[in-house]
Amino acid sequence: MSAVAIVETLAWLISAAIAIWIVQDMIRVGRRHDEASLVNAPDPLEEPFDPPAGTERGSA
Amino acid sequence: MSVEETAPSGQAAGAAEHPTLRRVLSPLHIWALGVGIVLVGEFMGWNFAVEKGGMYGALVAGWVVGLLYTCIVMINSEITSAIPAAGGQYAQAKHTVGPLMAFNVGLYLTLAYTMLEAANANVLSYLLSTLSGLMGSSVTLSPYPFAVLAILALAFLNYRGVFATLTLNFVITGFAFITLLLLFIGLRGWNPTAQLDLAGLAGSPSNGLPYGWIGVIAAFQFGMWFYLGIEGTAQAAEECRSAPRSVPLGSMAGIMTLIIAASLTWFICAGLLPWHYLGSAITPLFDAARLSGSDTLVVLLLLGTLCATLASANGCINDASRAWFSMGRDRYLPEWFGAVHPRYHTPFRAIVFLVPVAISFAILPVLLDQPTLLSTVITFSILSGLLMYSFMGPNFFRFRKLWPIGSIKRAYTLPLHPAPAIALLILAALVFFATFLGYGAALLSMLLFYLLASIWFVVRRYKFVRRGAQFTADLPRPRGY
Repeated sequence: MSAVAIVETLAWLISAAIAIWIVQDMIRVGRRHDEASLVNAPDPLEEPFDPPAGTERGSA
Repeated sequence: MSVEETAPSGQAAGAAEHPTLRRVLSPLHIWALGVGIVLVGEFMGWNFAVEKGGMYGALVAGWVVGLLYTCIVMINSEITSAIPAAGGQYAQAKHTVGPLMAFNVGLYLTLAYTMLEAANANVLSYLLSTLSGLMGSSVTLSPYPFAVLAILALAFLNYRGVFATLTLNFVITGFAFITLLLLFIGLRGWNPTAQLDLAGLAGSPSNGLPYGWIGVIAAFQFGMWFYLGIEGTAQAAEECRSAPRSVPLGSMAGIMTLIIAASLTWFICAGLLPWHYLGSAITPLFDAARLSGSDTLVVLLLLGTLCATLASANGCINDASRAWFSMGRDRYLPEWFGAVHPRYHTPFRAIVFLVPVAISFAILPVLLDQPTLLSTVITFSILSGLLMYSFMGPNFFRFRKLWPIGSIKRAYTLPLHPAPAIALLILAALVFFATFLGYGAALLSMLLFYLLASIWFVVRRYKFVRRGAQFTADLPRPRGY
C-alpha cells in the first residue's frame, strides 16, 4: 500500500468517525430533550415591547 | 483541544429553559470571521481581474470595489449594532422590510456561504495534490477524501462551539496574513527595482490598461474577490459579548486589513509576473513565492494559502448555519432547524444540514469531470452576494427612516449619510453590469431561481410565519409597525 493510499484511507476513516459522532450526538439530543425546549423562538403570544413615551432605547 | 466554553453567569438561568447561542465573542473573533472568509481571495481568484483589465485595471478594480465594501461595512456596523441578531442582514430585512425580503436575503446568505465553502474544499484538495507533487509523490492524490474531511472536520468544530471555531480562525487567518507580509519583506518590496520589476511589467498601456476603461469595468467582478464575505461579520452579532462594540471594531479593522492585503498582493504580483500569466494563474501569490528563489518563502506561502482556504471554509460554515438557523427559528423554514444544542450552544442542526449540501457542490465538479462547474458554483456565490449588496443600500435608508438619529442609542453612527448608501447603490449597479458582461446567463438563471424560491415561500411557507413575532430587536416599534 503506497503512502498516498494510506493518507487517503486515513482521511476517509477520520471523516467517517466525525460523521458517526455528529449523527449520534444529534440523535441523542433529540431523544433526551423536549423538542420545544430546544427551539428558542420568540413567543407570538407575548406582549410586544412598547417603551414608555420619551424613553430612548437601543442595544448599547 | 477543549472546545467547551463557560457561559457568562447572566445566561445560565435562561439557558436552563431554552438553550441560547453563547455570548463569548470579542472584536478579535469578528475580525477573524470577516478577514478569514475573504483572505483566500488574495491568494487566488482576484488575478482574473488582470486578464479583464490589465495590471492597472486590476488595481483600480481592487480599490473601487474596496470603496463599495467600505460602505457595506460601515452600513452594517450601524444597523447590526442596533439589531444584533444571528442571521445579520436577514434579521435586518425582517425588521425593516418584511418576510419575503427577509426570506430572500436569508437564502442569499446561506447559498453564498455554502457555495463558497464548497469551492474552498475543492481548492484545498487541489492544493494538497500540488503539495504531494512538490514532495516528490508520483501518484496523484484523490481530491474526494480531503474535500470531505475538510468540510466534516470544520463542521465538527463549528458544532462543538463558536469560541474555539473563531479562535482557530484568528490563528490561521493571522498566519496567512503574516505570510503575505513576509513575502513582501522577502522580496524587498519597499524597493520596486530590487527584485520586483513594476515599471517593466506594469508600466506601459499595453500591460497596464490593455483594454482601456471598459476593461477596468469588466475587472470589477473579480475585484470583489479581495473583499467578498467581509459582510459576514454581522452573522456573529448574537454571539458577541458586546455586539455594539465588537461588530463595528472587528469589521472596520477587517476592511482595513483587507485593503492593505489587496494592495500588497497586487504590488507583489504585478512586479513579478507578466500580466498574461497572472491573469490566468490559479495560485498567483504562491507562484510569486516560487519566483523569489527562496525555499522558505515557497513553503510559507503554500502553508499560507492552505490556512487561508481553511479559514474561509470555516467562516462560511459559521455564517451559512446562522442564516439557516435564524430562518428556522422564525419558521421561514421548518422550526426543526431553529434548535440550539443544549450543551454546546450552537445551531447544530443547521450546521449538520448544510454539510451534505457543501460536500455535493465540492465534489460534483470532480465527479462529473466538469472543471467549469466549479466556476459556476463560485459565480453563484458571488451573484448571491451581489444581490444582497443591492438590498443593503435601500435597507439603510429605510432603517434611518424608521429609527432616525436621536430616536435610539447608536453604538456607531454612519458618517456623511446618505453619501455612503448612494455610493453603495451606484457601485453595486456598476459591479452588476460588469458581472452581466461576463456571466449574463448565470445571472439571469440565478434571478429565476430566487423568483421560484420566493413563489414557494409565499405559497407554501408564509402561512407558518408568526407575523406577530417578527419584531425581536430591543428597539422601540416604529409607528404603524
